[in-house]
Amino acid sequence: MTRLSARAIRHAFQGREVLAGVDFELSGGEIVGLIGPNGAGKTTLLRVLAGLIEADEGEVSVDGTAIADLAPDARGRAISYLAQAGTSEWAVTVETLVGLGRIPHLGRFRGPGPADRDAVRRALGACDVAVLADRPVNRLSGGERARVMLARALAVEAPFLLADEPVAGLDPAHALDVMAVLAARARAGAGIVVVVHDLTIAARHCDRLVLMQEGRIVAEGSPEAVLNQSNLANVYGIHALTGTAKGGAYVVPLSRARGE
Amino acid sequence: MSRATLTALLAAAVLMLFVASLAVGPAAVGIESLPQLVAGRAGDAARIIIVEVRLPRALLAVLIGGALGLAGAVLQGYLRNPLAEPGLIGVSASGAFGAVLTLYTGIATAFTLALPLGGILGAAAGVLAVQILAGRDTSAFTLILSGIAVTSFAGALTALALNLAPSPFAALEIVFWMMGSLADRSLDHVALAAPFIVLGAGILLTTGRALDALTLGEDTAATLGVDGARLRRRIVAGTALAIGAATAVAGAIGFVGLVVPHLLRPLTGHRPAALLVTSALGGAALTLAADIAVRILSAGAEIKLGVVTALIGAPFFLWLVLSARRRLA
Repeated sequence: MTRLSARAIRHAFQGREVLAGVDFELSGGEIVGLIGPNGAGKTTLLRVLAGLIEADEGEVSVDGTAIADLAPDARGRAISYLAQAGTSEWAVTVETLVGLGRIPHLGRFRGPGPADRDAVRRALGACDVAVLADRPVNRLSGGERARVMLARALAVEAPFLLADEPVAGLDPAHALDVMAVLAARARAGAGIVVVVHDLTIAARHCDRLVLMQEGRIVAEGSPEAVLNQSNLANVYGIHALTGTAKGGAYVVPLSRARGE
Repeated sequence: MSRATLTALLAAAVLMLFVASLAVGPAAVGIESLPQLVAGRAGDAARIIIVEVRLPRALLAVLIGGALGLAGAVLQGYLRNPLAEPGLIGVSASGAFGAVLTLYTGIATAFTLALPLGGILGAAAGVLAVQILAGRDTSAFTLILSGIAVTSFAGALTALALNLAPSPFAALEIVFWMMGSLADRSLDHVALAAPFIVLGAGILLTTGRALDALTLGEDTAATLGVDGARLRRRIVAGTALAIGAATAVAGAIGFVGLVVPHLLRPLTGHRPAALLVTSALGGAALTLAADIAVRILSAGAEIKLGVVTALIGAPFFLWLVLSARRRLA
């Protein structure tokens, strides 16, 4: 599977239009940053792509097959979803939690096999949490928990991964770790969409940025092209210091733009 | 302790308590009568007491206790709440009301199984109401609210039946029945309840993997291929069949479905699917033990099984509160 696409997506919640005609394409091997102010529709778009919301209009498809036509477990194998601030409801061990990512691969009467255990081991290794395998998930720090949750999403080994604010609330080192794991997965061939608020993180780790405002995509392209002064002022309402350093762009918000 | 070891230990406990249940009672028929019975050398009195008095009780304790433990584990996993119990979706209260109605109207005396049949019809009506109220929404929240609404309404109707009871004796009969008991049940009761309980338990046992996925929340579970609507239908149907039949035959036996999954959860690594079979066995063992305790404790008036399980359950609840307070401190 190499292409996840959404066509002409419109969706309203209680009369308020949250997505007002969105077209979106994701290819294998790229990491796309979904950015925009709060309430722009980023999370809703991600949930539509994941099949969690059936949009009022438009269609999401994987290589031409509508995801609504896929069986639930087939969709689970194709698209992995990392929820925002995800937690575990029970105090299972880290290994058990990451193993839940294999559920779409299990047969009705077949438990996890060697292939599933290998996938879990790879995911634990990729996120550098193998040493925590036997730790109950309620005894993890915030940074550890974020990496464990990411490992759970990676364990699916789906061609597409949709991550909703995976670095929110993380200190800079942990945020960089998480983005590095996602970038590595993209280089290995997966298509990744990541919702990010930190524009510097978005600029430096994403191949392409998609800027949303009021349910529409208002800019799309390379980080340098999207994060220009006019978009920052018009969409975010800020003046920011922008530039490049050590092989990537940075954005430092300085003040509110007047007249917004 | 591995899951296999735990399951084997619980199964052994159920077996031992089952045998003990056949050997304990006010009549002077003890464990020595069991081999005689198997060999066909027991007297008529001993045979009647074991096969017609104690065997139905032991079988019902296993079936009903198992149903309570299993349904409790499933609902706690589904609602991701360690305080959930099988009665939460309204099936116990509506089943009890159906049975009470047969006592109130006197239909219960018309034929042996009138009362449990009334209970099953009541449970079916209650679960239908819950399904209609909860509608097509697939969240656990609407299911809880609908369950609370049906439970309150059935409770109010039961209170009304007590209020309008034709005589104090009739009211007492209703109150005693509602306390929950396995005394004086026959093999007919077993034959009536068993198919519903076995079918309901079979449905509930298929939910393990979906419950595991729900550890990550409803959204993430859905992206792992869990069909929320289908899961909820299975849980409501399985609970209604198993707990409806259990309540219809034995009345309300509280706390088993709450306490057992709670006690076993740390021993099964907190994984919801690992808790299903173990909680069924644990529920069977606890109910057998409580029913044996009832017979040992009852010198004069019979102490009801539901009273004993509540007497065990309430201090356990207290301990839960205290340990939660310690954790938060």
